Amino acid sequence: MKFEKMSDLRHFVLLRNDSSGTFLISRQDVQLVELKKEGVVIIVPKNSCVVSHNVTLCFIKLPFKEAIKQFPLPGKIKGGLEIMGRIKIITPNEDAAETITVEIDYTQYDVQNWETLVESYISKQTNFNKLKVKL
Amino acid sequence: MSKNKKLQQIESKTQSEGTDENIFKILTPSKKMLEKMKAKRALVYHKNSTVRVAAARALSELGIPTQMTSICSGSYQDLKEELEKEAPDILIVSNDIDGQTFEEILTIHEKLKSDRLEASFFLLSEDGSLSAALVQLDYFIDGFIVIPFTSQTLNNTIIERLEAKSSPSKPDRIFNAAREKFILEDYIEAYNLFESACQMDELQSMALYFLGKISLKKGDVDKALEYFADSYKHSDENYMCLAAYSKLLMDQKKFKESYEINKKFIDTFPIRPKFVRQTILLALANHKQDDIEELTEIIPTLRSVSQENNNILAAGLIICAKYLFEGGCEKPALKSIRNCFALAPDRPQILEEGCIVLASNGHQKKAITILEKNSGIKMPKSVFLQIQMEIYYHSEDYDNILKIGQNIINAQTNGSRCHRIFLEVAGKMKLGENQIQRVLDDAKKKFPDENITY
Repeated sequence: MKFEKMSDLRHFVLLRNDSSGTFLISRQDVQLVELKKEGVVIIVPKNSCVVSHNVTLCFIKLPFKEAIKQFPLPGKIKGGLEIMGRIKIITPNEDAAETITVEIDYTQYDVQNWETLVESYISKQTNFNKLKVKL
Repeated sequence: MSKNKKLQQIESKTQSEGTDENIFKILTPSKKMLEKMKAKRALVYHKNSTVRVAAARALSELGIPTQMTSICSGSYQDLKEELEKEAPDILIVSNDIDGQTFEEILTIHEKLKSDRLEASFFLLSEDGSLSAALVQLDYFIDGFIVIPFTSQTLNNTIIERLEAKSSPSKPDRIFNAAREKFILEDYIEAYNLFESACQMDELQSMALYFLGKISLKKGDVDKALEYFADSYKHSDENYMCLAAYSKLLMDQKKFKESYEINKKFIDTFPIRPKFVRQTILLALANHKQDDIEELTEIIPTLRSVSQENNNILAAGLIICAKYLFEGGCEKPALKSIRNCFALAPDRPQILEEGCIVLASNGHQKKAITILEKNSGIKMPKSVFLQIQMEIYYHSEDYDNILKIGQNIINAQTNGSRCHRIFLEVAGKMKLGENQIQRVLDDAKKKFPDENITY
């Protein structure tokens, strides 16, 4: 039987709001929407940040079995990608009033590691594009 | 290393390396396509405004005038109305439309725009699993775009697919003309066109598959089987044919033949949760114990982000476990049960069925322990009681049934099963008349339409 794992490329994102001192560490708190060249668009709970707040993000590839009780120190999570950025735009979500869509511009990050992460999603999409009804 | 030093290093690395433009590079649409797109209408549906805006932007970069793109974020009904009003050539919708799936929307779009070389359908999906993406093989979908997306993945997927459609090959055109008649339910004309399409090597398998589908629409199952068999003969890698052929054979109770086709199907394409049940049943019908054992290893790895899929997988594991217990394969059977609870930890039905299989096969203690461990699942006390009764019943522990059975009078059970078990056991154990009468009266009161006797 031919089978491939369905649990494929996904990331769990942690967010620390450096301006307010709060953090989001639950797996459902941050959802990735768009990966940009020098930034990211995510969905987070309402009131977790405001425009121009400085934040630190930590991208962790799933599966990740350890429980996270606090925002990790730099380098603490093996393979985790830590990025600093500033909130650029906030848009309320009309369908889920308890959440907002946030665009973050990166201020400090490792370009190579970020591009590797983005490339993995591009490669996944490229593979999916090959799945098509053939005549 | 202090945090500041580390960040300084990151900063200097950022400045020195610069970015690689290529991974974000967006394809340039051809002049022909840009020209063609000027007259197109589009509709984008997604709940998130960032996604909607990005998709609309991608369409505008393709040459579709901004005023020709409608945006919708409302309910399923709103989308249907908007779709019928606008009749867009290009439709980009989310995989999950207000809690419903996209199939009906695709059907409406195909009916409105039956010439599929002039129309396109794209899905945006938060579920980025392979299982979800394989939906492209079930339907004629132009693209499956995963969220999170990048400008590259979104724009280029749309551009590549539309470019391919803007210069169709001769077989593409012939197939499209025949399929258009099929979409419009003009089966006589579709039949003729697909029959002539069979003359072209490239189209034989797919045309024969459609001839089979038309025969099915007419109710001619034998003819449909003949066409599917012919289609399979021309290509044993036609996904649509393999899926339809094995299912039809199974429906006709031709289990041996169906098993062969299904085997080819799952050997050629990655197995998906939706086909797991069929695969298990065929393996059982053909006494293929090796397949069952293999499946019990594979199923847990198919865990999906969709709980609905996981429930199907868990139910499949229970069937496998039952069979393995019957065949005396205790170890893999117990492993299957363990895996099924891991796949669907919040489903009382799975808990109940899994516990029953354990209890019926000499593992009452395990079943009770699992039930008690899972007592935190959101389920009414009556369901918990019912599962307990079933466990004791299947392990023939009549004393415990009589002990806990007294509680059924105070429980709001959904069906009469608990009462029936109690009365059956009470009869066997020759319980006192008074106790039996109390339960019997309660059963008659709660289920007046059922003929419950002692």
